[in-house]
Amino acid sequence: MKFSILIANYNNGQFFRDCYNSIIQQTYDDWEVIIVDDGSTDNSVEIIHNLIEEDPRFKLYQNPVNKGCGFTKNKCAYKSTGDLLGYLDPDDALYPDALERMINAFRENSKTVVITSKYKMFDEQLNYIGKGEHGEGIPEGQSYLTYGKGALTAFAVFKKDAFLNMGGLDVKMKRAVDQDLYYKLEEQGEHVFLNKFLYKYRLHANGISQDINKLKAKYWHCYAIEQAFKRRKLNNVKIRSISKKVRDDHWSNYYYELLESSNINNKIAQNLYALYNLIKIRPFNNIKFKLKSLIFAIFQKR
Amino acid sequence: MKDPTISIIVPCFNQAEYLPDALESVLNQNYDEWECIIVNDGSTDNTEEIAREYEKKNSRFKYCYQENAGLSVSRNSGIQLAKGDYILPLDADDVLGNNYILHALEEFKNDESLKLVYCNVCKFGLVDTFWNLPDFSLLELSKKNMIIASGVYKKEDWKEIGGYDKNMIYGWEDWEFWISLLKNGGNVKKIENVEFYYRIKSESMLNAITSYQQKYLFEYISIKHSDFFVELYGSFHHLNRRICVEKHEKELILKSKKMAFKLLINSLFGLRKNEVHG
Repeated sequence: MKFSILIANYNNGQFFRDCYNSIIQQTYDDWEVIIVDDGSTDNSVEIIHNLIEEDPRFKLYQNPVNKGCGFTKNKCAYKSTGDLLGYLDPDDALYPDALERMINAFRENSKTVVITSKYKMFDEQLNYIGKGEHGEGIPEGQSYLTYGKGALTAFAVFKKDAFLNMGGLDVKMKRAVDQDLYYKLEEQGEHVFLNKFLYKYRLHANGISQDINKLKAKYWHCYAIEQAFKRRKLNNVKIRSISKKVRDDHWSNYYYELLESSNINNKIAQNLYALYNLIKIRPFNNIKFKLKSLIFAIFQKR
Repeated sequence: MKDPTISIIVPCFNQAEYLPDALESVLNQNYDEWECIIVNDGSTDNTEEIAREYEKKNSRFKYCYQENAGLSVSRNSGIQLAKGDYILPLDADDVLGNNYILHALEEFKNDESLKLVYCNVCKFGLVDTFWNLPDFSLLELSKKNMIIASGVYKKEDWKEIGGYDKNMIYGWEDWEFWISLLKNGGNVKKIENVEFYYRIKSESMLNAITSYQQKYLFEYISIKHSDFFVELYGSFHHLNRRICVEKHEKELILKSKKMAFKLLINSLFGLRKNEVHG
């Protein structure tokens, strides 16, 4: 079985050496690496190019302009030729036995579509800090969509067939692309959790999101949930879906947060947009608050 | 062997699972003249086994055991044994950055007036976020603790203020300690790099201090450090008078016609904060 490691890079070239080393030290040999640079503005491409040289196992592609995470990760997968695929961020790294363990796990569970594992956290110089608290199996009768809680995390490996079958990733998405991937994959077939630490996650200043970005991530997460909800209804998928109410909870949670943030930052248009959506989702819920906020937003001098 | 410059004090109570992470981060310091005192506070797990392992690995680790007595007492008994001039408390589930001690001692060398050096923090485990600590001021410190437990200070200062207060039975030991340390002056330095990692666990949420316990702790701190709070806010008499004056002014405003009109408008269209998630 050939393994394709998929790397979407945006301005993380400075960390790529550790990533590169962790790949060439893998105990399993039959692999290729697909790197797509998403229009980095630093010297990422140069650094990556210098490291991989003419090694035929590495393939480097470039987006002429920045296209976003969804587009880039999707492109990685479509350029790959392996049977099994797994995303690896260029600022992170793999444990040497990661591929071997995944290959073995897929051999044992031939019907499985996606296998996830756990990760440990490292500092900027890749010194070990501690284990990540996420990553677990999903209880019987639940799905990742209904259970959530970060159960599915890196290192996640899936079959290319399943990826093609599900129609790839949503190229519009800028964040929460992994959530989109996991929801779609679990619709394709069985998920197995491998209780091993296979992935090194680096904490560094560029990588950690600020508060404003968290709201954006939350938006795209809601969007992924929305898409999964629609898909499962339309295609009559076997795996459990969420109710309309839970979906609305996700959205109204997001818009309440957006409303709060726009109040703090004095953004009137955003405030009205959030309110409009809150009213749209549940017109008669908490109606007094909504009316007041609306009048407040229109007439209040700021 | 030369006496160490800095003593890292690691109190443990049933945190064997995380202890190796903390001790490894001590081993990885880019500074050599340290000792690390592991105080087992009556753990019922394999804390001792792990601590002994590290003792064997490196003779700078020292292990001691006590019957369960709480965080303050554990830290104090560790510091009692410390040979270093500087003290760095480290909780068994947290992790140090490799250059923390190096940078902290440099700061002390550059500025004689420093009493405390700490650093920026990153949360890890369940999350991965920077912890935006506000800049230090005595006024901020009087409101809430804004300094991490793992700050570097001098042992002589610890001795002078009488150590960590064992009456802080429900928590906030460090807050009380920082007030004791800093209320009579002395400079504080926050290193801009992230040199400390604070672990967030799933059970972290469950161990919050109850409001009854908070009341006890606030009252205890208020009495013990009355000098500090009076200096910042004035006497109780003064505070009471200010409250009375404000009440009176509010009443006057309430009675005015303008206010009656405003209230009418507000009750029709106004916002009340507690309704945000109602």
